[in-house]
Amino acid sequence: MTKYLIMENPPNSEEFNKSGSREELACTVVKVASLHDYSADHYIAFAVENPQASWAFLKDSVKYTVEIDDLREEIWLKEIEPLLNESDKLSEAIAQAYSVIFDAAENFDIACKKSKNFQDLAISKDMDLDYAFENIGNTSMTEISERVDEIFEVQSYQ
Amino acid sequence: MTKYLIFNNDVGAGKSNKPGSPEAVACDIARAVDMYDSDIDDYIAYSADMPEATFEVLKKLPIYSIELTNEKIDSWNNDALRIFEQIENFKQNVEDSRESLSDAVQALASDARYSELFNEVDFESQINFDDAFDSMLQRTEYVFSKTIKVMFGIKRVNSAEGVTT
Repeated sequence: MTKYLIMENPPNSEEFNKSGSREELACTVVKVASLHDYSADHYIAFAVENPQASWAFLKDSVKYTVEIDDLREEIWLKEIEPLLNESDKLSEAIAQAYSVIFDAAENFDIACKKSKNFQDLAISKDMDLDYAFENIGNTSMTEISERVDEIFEVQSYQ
Repeated sequence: MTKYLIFNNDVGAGKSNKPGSPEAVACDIARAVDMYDSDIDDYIAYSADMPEATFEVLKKLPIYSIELTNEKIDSWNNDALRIFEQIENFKQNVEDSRESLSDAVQALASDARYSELFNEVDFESQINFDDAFDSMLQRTEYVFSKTIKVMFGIKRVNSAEGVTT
């Protein structure tokens, strides 16, 4: 089992996690566990035995630690990643539904404004779409996040 | 101004109003007030001074009465029906969105069912959007129905008897 230290990657940094590496996975795990929507390069990870990790400890710049071994990596690839993809698709479907319904409600209101007898009718404000969609939240991310936090023993140092 | 009485139609009796006639418009307005829960053929209207209306009243009470003028009929055909089309468009968009979300939740739930970690999580129950979507549709139909009711002065005569589908 290897512990990975995760710190913020400065915007001008030329260091990045190697694509497909466990360091990259460690950063993704943190993103999911913390429910943050940062870019892929927002964090950078080092295995604990890496000299840069000691340096990060000295500078007190460690934000998270996570544990990754072969079994956990397999769990990520086989169980969590496919579910995250489906969860992302659901979030996209909710955003798309909001946009489609909002446009349809606006079109309805415009038609009412142009009409002779229905000018006082308006549904956009009446329905409070924002409130309605707040209640259609995608709770799957919270569920997945909690499991990821548990499995990868995510520790926060913030 | 002509008064029309609108009744539940016994579809099996083979009676219906002529499309485009004031009687058909009266039924269409009644249908809008009932928020389109029924088919147009579930209603039949007669001019109140026609013998058919008297004969029908002897059998059962009308569900609505309405007084129509040519101006009101024009307002229905040229204004209200356009708004109705927009409502239908809105409803279609809500239903399409409901279907997309339902597909996405089912795909997620299906993956979870075969997962060792998440097989006990019931995502379908957790992510509920039907109530919100139903409320959007009902609210839209309700405001339209209420406006139509006031605008055309349609009166419910027999509240105990609704249109049966």
